[in-house]
Amino acid sequence: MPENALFRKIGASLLLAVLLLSLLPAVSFAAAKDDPYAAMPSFGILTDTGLEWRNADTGFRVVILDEIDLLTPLEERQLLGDMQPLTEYGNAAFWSTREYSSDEIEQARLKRRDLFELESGTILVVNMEIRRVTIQSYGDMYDVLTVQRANSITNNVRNSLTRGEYYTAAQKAFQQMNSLLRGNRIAQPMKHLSNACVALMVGLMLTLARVFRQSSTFRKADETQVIGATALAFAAAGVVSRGQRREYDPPSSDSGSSCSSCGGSSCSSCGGGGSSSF
Amino acid sequence: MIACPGCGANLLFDIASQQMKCSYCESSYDPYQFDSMQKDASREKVYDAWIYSCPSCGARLMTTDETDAEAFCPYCGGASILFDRLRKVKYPSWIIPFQVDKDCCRREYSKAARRAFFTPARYKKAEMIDGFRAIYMPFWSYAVEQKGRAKVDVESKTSRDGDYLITDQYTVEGDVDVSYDGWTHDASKAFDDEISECLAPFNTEGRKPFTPGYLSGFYVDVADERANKYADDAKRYFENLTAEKLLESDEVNRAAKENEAHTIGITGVSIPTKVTKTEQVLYPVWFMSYREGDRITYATVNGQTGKVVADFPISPWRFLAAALLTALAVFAVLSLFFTLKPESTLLLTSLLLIIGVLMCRKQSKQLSERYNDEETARRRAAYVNSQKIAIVLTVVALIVSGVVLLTHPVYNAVFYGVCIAEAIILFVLIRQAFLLQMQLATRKPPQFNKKGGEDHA
Repeated sequence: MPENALFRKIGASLLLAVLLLSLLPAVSFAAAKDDPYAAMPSFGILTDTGLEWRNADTGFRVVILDEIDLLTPLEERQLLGDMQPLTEYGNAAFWSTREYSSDEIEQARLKRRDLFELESGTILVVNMEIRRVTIQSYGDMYDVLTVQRANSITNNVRNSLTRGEYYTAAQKAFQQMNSLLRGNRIAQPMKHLSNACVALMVGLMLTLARVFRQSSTFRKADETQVIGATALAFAAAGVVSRGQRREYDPPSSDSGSSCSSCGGSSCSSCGGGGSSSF
Repeated sequence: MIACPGCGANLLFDIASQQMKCSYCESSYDPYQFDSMQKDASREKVYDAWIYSCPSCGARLMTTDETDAEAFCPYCGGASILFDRLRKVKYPSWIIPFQVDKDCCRREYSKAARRAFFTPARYKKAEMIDGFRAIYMPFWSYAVEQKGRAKVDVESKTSRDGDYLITDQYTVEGDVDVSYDGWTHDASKAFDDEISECLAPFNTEGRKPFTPGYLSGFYVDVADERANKYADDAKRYFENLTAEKLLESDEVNRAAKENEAHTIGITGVSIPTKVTKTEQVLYPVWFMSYREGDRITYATVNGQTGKVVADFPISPWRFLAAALLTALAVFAVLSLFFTLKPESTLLLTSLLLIIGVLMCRKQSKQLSERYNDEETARRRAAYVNSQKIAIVLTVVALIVSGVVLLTHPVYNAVFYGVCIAEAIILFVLIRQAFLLQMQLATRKPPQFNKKGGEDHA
């Protein structure tokens, strides 16, 4: 049928559209220039909790708390260097942990407050217990590293984490944060792919709904308005019971429903973050 | 043909002035002035009509002027209609003369066509809209009388008693003595019942006693359905009407309150109903057909009220363009305001897939309610069968989504792979629904003298 051939073409066009939309971010990634990221000397000091460095000009700190040794000592020092540019804007921390938490963003928020109190700052948490990576920011840094952008960054690094390339993932995450803080853009391939997929589905459904509406212009009219009638009155009207109809229908056992309030991932008073499983 | 008393030229009925008008000397005359039958009440009133029939589809049309015959059939688009015979035709009881002229008809149709976004542009072109023909459609009009004890069986809402559902049943009664008239049904086999029902209502206050002058310059469809064919439908309609009025009456509401009866559904109606009169009436309809390949579309405009009822075909290209534009808008909004995590994306696409399945099922159900002919039933069955595969794939995709969400597989590719699979399944579902809708928006050319023929006549 010609319609079938047409629809095969349409199907191919849609697939092509999905592919093109998913390629867009890759192109933008190639176009987006990372700032020249000169590795800064990493003169960190080893404290009881981890490796730390303070920017003498701004007073902001970089902290690495690798509690479960995801990074080698050399990688920790390299990462410290990678994180140092962020201190122009606020504090930055990397924390690896196995502490269970049902709310990884709240967990990240509490840790950030422990470390930096109410100063501008950001924290990257790799929680191996729940296998989630979270970025949580506050203050000036939150103005740039919003929940959406934090989600994009965690989406971008989760494949590296899955492969066990923890240093690469952390380095990439802090590089992208720095890039955003400098006013540049970062590639968001997964965001665009998700959006393209959802947008195509919504587009098809809304359009089909419009087609249904157009096709249902055949509406039968109410004829009562043109029916002529003599005065209608009912004499000796009443209601008589005819009994009851009983139908066997045992109630089905309902599964209990539960409702829990979910914690917000961000608010103006406590900053916000985004996370991804890996 | 009615000749102008002044110049002998042909007089035609003029819609604007509602008079017979001479196209040559522009004199106007009252249509009843030329009706000799009106003066003689003793004879059965008949008028001469030239009957034309289409050799292709068998549709029959009449005119009061043999020179009026057009070269093509308005029902099937066939190249010619042939003179069949001259016949004496009984006067219908009433006629509603055309109130809507061709310009107004064009305007109303264009307005409706503009709203039909998915319809190809060729259906909106001026030269096509010129194809409207003014046809008087014959209808049977029924009057009924209801006298005696009306009984309506009703049920109250259901309550539960252990393992049983209990429904209270009542009979609502009342003595009734009422007469109705004005329920009509089209009397032409050629004129689609659904179109005629949707073109209604015609305001019977505008009806006039019939005189052949009103037909001058117009076609008349032949009444080839028996007068008593729709008598039972008329009775059923008026029984339900009275039953509803009885349930709404103050007396019944008072009695229901006393009995604590909350009636919610009618299960049976018994009202002594008798058809007292069946009359033929002629209603004005602007009619146009457009044939493309082996499909045909009809457009009609109520010649009294201007209401438009038309098949608006759907273009796949317009559908695709609209879908992509909508998708781009949604994409822009999502990109500006949201960043979806893979889990959220998967949940969302699964939800959209479920909504898509429900939409297609609802459409299928609505089609079965709208069309009850064999051809549509066959098509719908084929559609439902083809949908089954897509629904199985949907269930598989939803199960895989559930597994993916529970197990948190390591790579993004798994999440997005399932999302894309769900999008493809939705596309397949929508493609099937669209193809069905596209076919139902047009018809097979009619075959009134053979079995089979149009999809939903």
